[in-house]
Amino acid sequence: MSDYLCHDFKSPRADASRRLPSSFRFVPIAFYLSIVGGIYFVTVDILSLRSAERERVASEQLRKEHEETKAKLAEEKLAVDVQTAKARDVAEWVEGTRVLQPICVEAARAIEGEVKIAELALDRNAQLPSQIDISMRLTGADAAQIATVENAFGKLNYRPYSPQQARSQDMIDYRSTLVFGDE
Amino acid sequence: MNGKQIACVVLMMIIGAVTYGAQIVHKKAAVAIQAAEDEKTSAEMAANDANIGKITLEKAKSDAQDLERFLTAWTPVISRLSSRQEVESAVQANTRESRVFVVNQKFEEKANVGERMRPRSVLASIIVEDEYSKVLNWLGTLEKKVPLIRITSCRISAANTGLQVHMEVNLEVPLIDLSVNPIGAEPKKKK
Repeated sequence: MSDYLCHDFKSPRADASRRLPSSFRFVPIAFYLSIVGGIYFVTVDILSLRSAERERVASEQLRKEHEETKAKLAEEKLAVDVQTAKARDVAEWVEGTRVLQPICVEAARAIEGEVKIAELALDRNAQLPSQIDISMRLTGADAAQIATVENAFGKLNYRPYSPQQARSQDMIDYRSTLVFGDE
Repeated sequence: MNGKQIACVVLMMIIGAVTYGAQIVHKKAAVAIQAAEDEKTSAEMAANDANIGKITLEKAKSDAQDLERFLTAWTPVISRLSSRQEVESAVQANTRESRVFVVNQKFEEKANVGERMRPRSVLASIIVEDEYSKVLNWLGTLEKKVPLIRITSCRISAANTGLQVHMEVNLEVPLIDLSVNPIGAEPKKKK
């Protein structure tokens, strides 16, 4: 039987259009693959997107909580700093209020025999109030007596800094700066 | 163009559109994932900062313990001497109790410029003449009963009469205002 014989009344006719190249058979395959792949990847991406969005919201919430905590802690720290600064200010003042009476008492106690204190002056240093400028005028005193007085100051934890003595007749003019021992 | 070619073109356009659409969705997902990662990093940094803040606060509290106790101990004294009248009456009460002879006494108030917590001070100049022991006891009790007192100068010399001593004392008592913030920065008020 002839290849062209289809029907008795039909005559063989030429193709209406030319055949496509055989490689074009992959176009429908690529189409189906793109549809399937597209659906798969879009689904995966949408799921990832939603998951990422949830994570972002959760992280944002967490960040806000931490930031609030941090702000509260900073506020507390500031309050502590304020209290500390107040205490330091008061302490600074109190440091310069070391009592003077024991110095007067010790100086008087250290004087023995015929020696007399004609005048005793204690002046607090304006810049360093914890330091005290002492000035004493002693009659009938000698260097040993001055050393005894200085030792007496030592009992109060004061040490004389830059002591000076000026003698005129039987009067000794003693000047020094008393510095507290732990300074 | 024949029908087969048109069909191929249409299919290829659909393939292109699907690929393009998938790519757009993928990019959006990538951006969202990156944003989530960034936010997670920010949250971790904020947690770290909060942790550092907590440690800093603990350390500050620990360091400030002694000063806090010191301030607590001194607060009643400071409150007791918050005005010139209170200072004057405290000094005069001590003088009365000691029964020391006061030659002269003068009180004045001065402003301390630049001192936030100690904006004013009471200055006093007192001259007493009495027995040596009474005068020194008076000075001792004054320093004890008014602990904020700073004796700026004290001069002792022999008085004109007998065994008495003459003492000139200059002193300063600050009027401390504990409600003032000495460091300037105010803690934020909660709304």
